[in-house]
Amino acid sequence: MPSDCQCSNACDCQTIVKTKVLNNKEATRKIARLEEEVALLKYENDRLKRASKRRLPKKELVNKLKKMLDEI
Amino acid sequence: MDFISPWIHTTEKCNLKCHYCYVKGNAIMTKEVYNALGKLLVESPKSNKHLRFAGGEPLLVFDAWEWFARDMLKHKGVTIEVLTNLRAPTPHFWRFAGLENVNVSVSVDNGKTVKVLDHLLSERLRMLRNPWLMTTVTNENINSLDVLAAFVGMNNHGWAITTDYFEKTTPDWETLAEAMLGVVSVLKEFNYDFTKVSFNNFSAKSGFSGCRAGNEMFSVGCDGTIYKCQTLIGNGKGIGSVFKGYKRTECPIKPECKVCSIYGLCKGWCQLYYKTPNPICNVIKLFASEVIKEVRATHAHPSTKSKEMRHAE
Repeated sequence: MPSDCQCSNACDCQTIVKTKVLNNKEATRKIARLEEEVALLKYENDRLKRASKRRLPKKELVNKLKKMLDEI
Repeated sequence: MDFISPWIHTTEKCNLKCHYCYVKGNAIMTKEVYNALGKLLVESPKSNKHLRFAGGEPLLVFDAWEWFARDMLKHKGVTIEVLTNLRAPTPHFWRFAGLENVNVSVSVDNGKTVKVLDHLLSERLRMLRNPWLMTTVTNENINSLDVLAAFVGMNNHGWAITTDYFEKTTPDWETLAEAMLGVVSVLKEFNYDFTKVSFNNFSAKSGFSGCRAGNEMFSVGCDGTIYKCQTLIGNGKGIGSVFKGYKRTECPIKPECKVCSIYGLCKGWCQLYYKTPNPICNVIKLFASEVIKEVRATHAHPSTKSKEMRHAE
């Protein structure tokens, strides 16, 4: 992980690791709470509701990117 | 935690003038400071020593620290990260970047005026082995974040996205939320590995420490003074020096962070500057929720990963 503020993947840190995010009961409860909070945020805010459903056009973005990178 | 990670402020000089930057001055770290820092690190009982060479722009003074970095790499458990804008690489640097245990993280904002993603930078990124991108989201680049996301997704780069520490240039939270949801949407299109992206220290990646400023992580100023955090160099009170050692000084986690639903995943972002309650936490939550969904889905159905991604791994 690049980082001003995190330790890298070279380090053996005690934290909620990926497997725990997926399997650990406490983490699952936490994530359920997070999902509830996020659902409420979206429910209360039309802008977010729209943004979370929006699919950005991949082709258009790639073309924009190519054009940008071709400019020397 | 069995690691130690100094931020090495190689120089205050920089070749860019980013509007959100906090570094001032022209100082360059001296050989005496490197020698003392080397001694401090070698004598540390920690098994993993992750040295972050930063600045300013560290490649402007590459000759001043290359010998030290190469010397440190001879020791067991040492890894190196160079945090650079990659605008002034020297031929020597490319050889150094290719060494085992050296990783390069590149600042790319794709803003209108600074850290623009262009042809030259894109070519230079190709020359690096597994580079990571670092992006500060501000009012200047918020509308071009989607294109940058396409670039990251296409190359499956690691990506650390942050708002600026002092929140002076941060867009309002709803605009930021829209942009970050857009980032997720674009990355999904490229079957991106979502364990490789972080936002304000939220990461679904394993081995994530959160900020450990003042503890395992500390910053060394050009004169050898040790600070809790790189943002305090020259401005704040030091907690020691490379010549005498340093006193571990905890940045206390705010009580409201400890009870938050994403505490285990963002560890309170920046305890020095982040004010709570903070509407940006809503953005971290929205982003985290989407990213966790993607990580879970990939874990449950690994075959959905694209061939290109498996090849890249």
